[in-house]
Amino acid sequence: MSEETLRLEYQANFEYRYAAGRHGSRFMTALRDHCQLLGTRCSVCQRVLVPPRPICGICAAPTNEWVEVGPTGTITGYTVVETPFIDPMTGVQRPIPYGFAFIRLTGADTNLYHFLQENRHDRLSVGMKVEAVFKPDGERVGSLSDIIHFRSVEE
Amino acid sequence: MGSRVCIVGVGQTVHSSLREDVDVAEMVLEAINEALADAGLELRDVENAVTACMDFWDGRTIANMWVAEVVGSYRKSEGRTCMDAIGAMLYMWTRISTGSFRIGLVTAHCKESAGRIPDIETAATDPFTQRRLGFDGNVVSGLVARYLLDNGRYTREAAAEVVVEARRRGSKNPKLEPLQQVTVDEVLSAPVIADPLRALDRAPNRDGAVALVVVSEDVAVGLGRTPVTVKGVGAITGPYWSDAEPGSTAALEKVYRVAMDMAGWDDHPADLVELSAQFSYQHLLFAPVLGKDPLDPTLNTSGGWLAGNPFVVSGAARIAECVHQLRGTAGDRQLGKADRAVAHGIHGLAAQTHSVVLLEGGLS
Repeated sequence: MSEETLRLEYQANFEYRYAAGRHGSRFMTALRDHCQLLGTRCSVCQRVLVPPRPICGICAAPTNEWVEVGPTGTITGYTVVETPFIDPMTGVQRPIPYGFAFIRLTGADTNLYHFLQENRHDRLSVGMKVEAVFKPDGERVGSLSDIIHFRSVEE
Repeated sequence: MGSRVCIVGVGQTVHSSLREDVDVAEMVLEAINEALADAGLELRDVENAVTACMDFWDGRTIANMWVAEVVGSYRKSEGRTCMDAIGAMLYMWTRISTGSFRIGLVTAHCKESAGRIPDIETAATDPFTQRRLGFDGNVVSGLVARYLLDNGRYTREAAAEVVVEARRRGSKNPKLEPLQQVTVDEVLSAPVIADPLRALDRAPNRDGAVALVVVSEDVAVGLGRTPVTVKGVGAITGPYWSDAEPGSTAALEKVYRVAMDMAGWDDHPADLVELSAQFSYQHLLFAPVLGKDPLDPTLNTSGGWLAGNPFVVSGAARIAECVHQLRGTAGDRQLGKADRAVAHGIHGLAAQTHSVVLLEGGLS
């Protein structure tokens, strides 16, 4: 009996169309049209949730108010990525190293994931003030990529 | 302490061909808000949730993360299932009947419009001996239907009548997007999808969600709502892959018998049966096992899956209809007498998985 073992390579292509929904669409259109960042406020704990959503998971209660947040914020966690990563949205490898962060936007009580302009560890710290850098008018399409990245704010 | 298990709230979105106005969480929340209002409860009252959804269909792994907030499961217990929603109901039954929880929320959702269904269905197949052949649910069902047809187990005309009747009954169900009414001839002459199946033999694709509020007996009494009691539950998977038996109903027969024994029903036929058939021939195959003639007016008063429900959601829509009939809230579809009802779900490309819930009106 042959000792040879085989393997099969399989490449799948799954296409999806995701609806942003009412909350996601309002968030993305405000970003596209006005460089505005929006959250929703919980009717119980009053936290402002970004991205906006209909229910505060911690209170299991509805949100009932739209609130503008940012565009400044504070880094609550960061890393510098050195692993080559093919961006599935573009098919292009993102240049490494790049800064990636968890950002608490001013006026928000939750965090938003995004890129950092800075990619050197020694220039980054938790608690650092940053601000969103938006794509210019006419280039924003209503996606999180309408924010190019966050850059440090000199204090 | 164990408890009887009662359903005190049902909610559904309209089952629509396209819900691009809402994301998954917003869609499920519509059903949850309706179910909680029906039960007289708030989301914060929910102690635990069991969700039913499919990663490949949602286009996201751990797809229940999409609904964790709206089902109120942060810092609470959420059970996650990936099969027809009657499996989620069974799981919730274990949680309430054992006394582990008193108030639970079962949700099921699917947006069949989100992905490319043949790609998703073929990804369920064995990568070595099946995947390269690139077949989907239509092909598998075509094989089964042809086997049954050549063995004289059904006729295309009888199957076409099922489609006509499902659409007719579904037109009275306000939770279904209206479907074009069709004739037997139109079903028989629709485009072939996989011989002998025609396009109208398969349920139309839908987006939607169903939510059920499930509680212990003491909670049901306290709420003062008319409950429906879960008397029997079961889920079973028959042989599939190369052991598949085309047209076998052995798995369904067994699980229905187990659930009837649990309910103490003997052979008393249910006043209402809501069965799941994604293809018309499946309706002809399963109806007699569940004790009904295929066109019986007490079978699928909702219209059934063939009148348009999403994948995975069908079983929950079957339960919702049973609850309405047993409570007397089925509107234009209300049967004169309904004390006992059976809801049925299927899963798998060849419908090899069957699940049932046996229900009685009141605190029986």
